[in-house]
Amino acid sequence: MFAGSDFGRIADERPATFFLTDWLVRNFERAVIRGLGLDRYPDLKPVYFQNYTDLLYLAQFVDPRLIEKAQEIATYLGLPLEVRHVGFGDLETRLAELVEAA
Amino acid sequence: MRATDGAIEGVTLSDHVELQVIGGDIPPKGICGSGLVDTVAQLRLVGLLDAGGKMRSREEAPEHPLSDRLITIDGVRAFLLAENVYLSQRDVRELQFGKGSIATGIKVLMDVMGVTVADLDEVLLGGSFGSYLNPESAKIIGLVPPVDVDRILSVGEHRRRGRQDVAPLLPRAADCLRATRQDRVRRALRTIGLQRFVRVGAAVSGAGDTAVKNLALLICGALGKEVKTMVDEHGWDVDIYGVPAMHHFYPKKIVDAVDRKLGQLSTGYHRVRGCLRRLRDGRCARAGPRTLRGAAVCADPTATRCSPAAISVGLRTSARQRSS
Repeated sequence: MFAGSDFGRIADERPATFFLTDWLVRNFERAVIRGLGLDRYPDLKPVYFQNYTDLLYLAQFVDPRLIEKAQEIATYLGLPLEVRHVGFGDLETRLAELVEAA
Repeated sequence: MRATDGAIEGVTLSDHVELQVIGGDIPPKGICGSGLVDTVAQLRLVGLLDAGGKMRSREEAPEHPLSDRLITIDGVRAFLLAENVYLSQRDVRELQFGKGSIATGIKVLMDVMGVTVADLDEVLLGGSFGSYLNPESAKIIGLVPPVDVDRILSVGEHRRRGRQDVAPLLPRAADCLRATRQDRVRRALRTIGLQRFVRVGAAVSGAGDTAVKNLALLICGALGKEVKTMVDEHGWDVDIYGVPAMHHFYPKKIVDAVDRKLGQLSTGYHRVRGCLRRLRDGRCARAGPRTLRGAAVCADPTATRCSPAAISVGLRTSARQRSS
């Protein structure tokens, strides 16, 4: 949704892309590492991630700290990082439709 | 018990229990109000009570120096203060109710007056109880706003004693409430989550009010910051509620969480509305019209693969709108 219509295209061209958002970057440790149990079973990392080839960070807010953190995640996952500032993408349009229709 | 001979009026906990009993060196018979507040605050400080007010059991805190004081009376957890004098989990809950209403009253007043804790010069504790209450403990349990302890003053029974220096303060607060338009009070109430009571009031009077927002957005917690930003930028008149983002790892939990949340919200909002048509597992949460006017938005943070179908609204005209 953040990537808008590009999402389908990216998914077609590079299906092995792992996506990050602001939230996911901020909460990577909690959501992914602990969420998937990688802290307890680090050897599961390749099981989860070995098939990914790209890492695409769809950034909502411009925040250098988050980009830095995304870089660390890229290192951790061993994937090349691409950052795109997409803002709120379709979320904003859809939310506007929703709220203003009410 | 009443604050008479034998009542525990002060409690200090460390690796042992120190009691202050009215009447001096006599065996304690019960706990009075100030002792109750003290005990709860001290239990909190030594870590035997969690932030939600739940008491720990002996099994949960076996290493604690006071663990032998943790007992169970008829299946209810309790803390033994002295022989035959204990504070039960139930006592804590009752104190929480009382504390909640007082603290809420203070919060509403402060909101209506547009002041924050930083604006408070002093917190004055009135009434006879107020003069015995330990300000430190009152602050720890959140009974009074968190100002420096030396700015929490007991003023005793100011009205009866004609304490002119203090008494004028109370009318001022009351005047402020009276003078303030009612909807401002409503708004103040809403921010602290008392919508349902406000709503009941509004329904009886039948007054068209704008103070309570019509629309609730129930969103995935992972979108919290984004949605809040958009709502602020557009100036939309909506309340935002979240479902924990971590539920994405257990999609089944989403349905229950959404369901529960809708149930809670249904008492607070106008009417009718919407269901989450499709969640990731395809189940329908709360199918059919609901007494909620809201919308749900969900994103999948694990892959950001939030399909448009994950957003859904079920609009229906509210009874209020239909009748008008």
